[in-house]
Amino acid sequence: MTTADGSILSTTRIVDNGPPAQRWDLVILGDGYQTGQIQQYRNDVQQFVNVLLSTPPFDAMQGAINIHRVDVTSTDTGADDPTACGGPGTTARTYFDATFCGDSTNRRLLVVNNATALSVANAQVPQWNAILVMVNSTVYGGAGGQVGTFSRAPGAEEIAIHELGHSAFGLADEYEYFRGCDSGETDRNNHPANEPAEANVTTNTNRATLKWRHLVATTTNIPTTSNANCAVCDPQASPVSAGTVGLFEGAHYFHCGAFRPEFTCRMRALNNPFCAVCRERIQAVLRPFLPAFPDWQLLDNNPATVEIVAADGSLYQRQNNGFIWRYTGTPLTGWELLDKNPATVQIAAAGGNLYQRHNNGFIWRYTGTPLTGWQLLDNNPATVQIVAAGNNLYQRQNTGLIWRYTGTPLTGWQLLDNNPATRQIAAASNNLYQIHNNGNIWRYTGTPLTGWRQLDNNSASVAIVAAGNNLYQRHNNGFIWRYTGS
Amino acid sequence: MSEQGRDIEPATSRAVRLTFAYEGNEVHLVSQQPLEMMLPPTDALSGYEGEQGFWVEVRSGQEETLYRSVVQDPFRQDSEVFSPDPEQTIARVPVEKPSGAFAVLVPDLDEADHVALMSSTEPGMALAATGRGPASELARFSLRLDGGSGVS
Repeated sequence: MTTADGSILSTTRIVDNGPPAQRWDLVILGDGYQTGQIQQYRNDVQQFVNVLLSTPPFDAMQGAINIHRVDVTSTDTGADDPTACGGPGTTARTYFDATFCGDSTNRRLLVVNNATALSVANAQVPQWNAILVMVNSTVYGGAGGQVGTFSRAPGAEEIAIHELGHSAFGLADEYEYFRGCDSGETDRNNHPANEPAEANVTTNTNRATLKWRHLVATTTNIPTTSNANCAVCDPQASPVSAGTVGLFEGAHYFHCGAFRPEFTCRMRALNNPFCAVCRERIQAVLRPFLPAFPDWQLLDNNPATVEIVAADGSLYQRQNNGFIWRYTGTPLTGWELLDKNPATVQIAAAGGNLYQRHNNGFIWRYTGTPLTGWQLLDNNPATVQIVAAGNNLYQRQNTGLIWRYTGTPLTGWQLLDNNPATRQIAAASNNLYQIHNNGNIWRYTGTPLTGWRQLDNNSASVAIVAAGNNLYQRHNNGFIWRYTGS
Repeated sequence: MSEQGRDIEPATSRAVRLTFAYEGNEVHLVSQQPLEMMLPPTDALSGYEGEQGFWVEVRSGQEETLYRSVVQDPFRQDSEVFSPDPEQTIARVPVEKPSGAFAVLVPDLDEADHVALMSSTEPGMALAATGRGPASELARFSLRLDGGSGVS
């Protein structure tokens, strides 16, 4: 029941990405493992680590993370499991005094002595950023707080990851009840008006000031869902596809007046991915801990950026609100706004020119004056792709037609091919390529409509890119191929 | 700089882990542990007036906020209970925690004078029974070596 009921054996950095002072350090402590069960503990921890590091966004941020396993033995195995909550009445003498039934009512509420856990973490890994205690029991359970707990029951690692969302990344709960939707509780109808400090819940329904507005598409309704009966949890299904960021009513323990970013999220219910806002928050916390690669210079840090293109010494970015920026040479602050039209869905650059395509198919060329200096080159709603190479600009339409711009706005377009099977075009140097739905790849040889030479006929090919004199293709199995012919 | 960009804080190598203990509605700073380590970036240093929740502010002697960290409310008198039942995997239950301890990590800044705990609830107050209003200063503690203690 106390630290006299076991001992600290050792501490091992099982995920080692550098000095603890420079990384985000997670400490995992074990409780209820006897000396002869330490290998089981190590296996259990490794299994949890595998799950954590394959969970987005931790998978992409692994370089920022150290994980320290502290091997702790206990006199007895397991945890206290009182009869008051339906347990067998087991009393286990363990180092951190793990106990189910932490509130004397719910067996799954698994608590430990937090002060002891803090003390051990301070001593073993002074630079810790988060602490978890893994308890040697196959009974499903866990709890939150600064020291998160979870048992080795199947699926309980989800508890630990959810709790890290709270304890290490300051995320709020996104569920819309306290005891449960069916609990009969009557004090969960309307959230207080004050804005929550956490990144992933809000009371604000103003699109222009919404704190995750940079992740919301202009076509997404705000609010995205509203609860028609604030006396109960909202029963409606999501009206948008999974992963859509919007404003969904019902969050932060209230049926109405509080909103969450996506319909589902790990902070709303276990066994879901983190929503985009939560992922962004976690990444923001972890990013400073990533190893520095001195040969890379940070030029901008805006999560709204969705496309970059570069040509002739210039770098451009497009954001999900349609804004187009040109880099002027000063990292982070040196970006010149060239346009701010939310209809922009693609940019392309080559030959000293910058182009943009709108969601209505219109194609524009930048003429040198920010915001107003854009020349309309075509206004065909069928246009779905533009590519630029050298002094050439091409467009592909949803009917498969491929056109080259010849220099006269609106009318100066030369038809190069009219095959409805065309899926994508790519261009580099003086070459233009197309790939068909059946995987056939063709290169334009100079004669409109008939002047196309077939380079491949593999049905596994799904995409092509071109650069310099090289052409690459990607297959549906992920394989990448380079064309070696002439 | 893009309009929605955010600043990246310079890497800080000096930090202090502050360990607090509370009992009833009183909070005490138990220890200040100097550390050589990087910190997570600060949360927004402006524009959060009137917000609810819990956060820690490091302030200068002129009350300028130098670092702010939104964290889980350590005084909450409730806890999450989890279930493998996919119909409802999480719920909350009241839990009496009349005393406890927690730690926060803050940068060791030359201009830092004190740390303030900002909270919408007080120690011992059940979240379920309260409407959470704007956070207010619950306690402040000197970051000078001569220490200091705060009481709610």
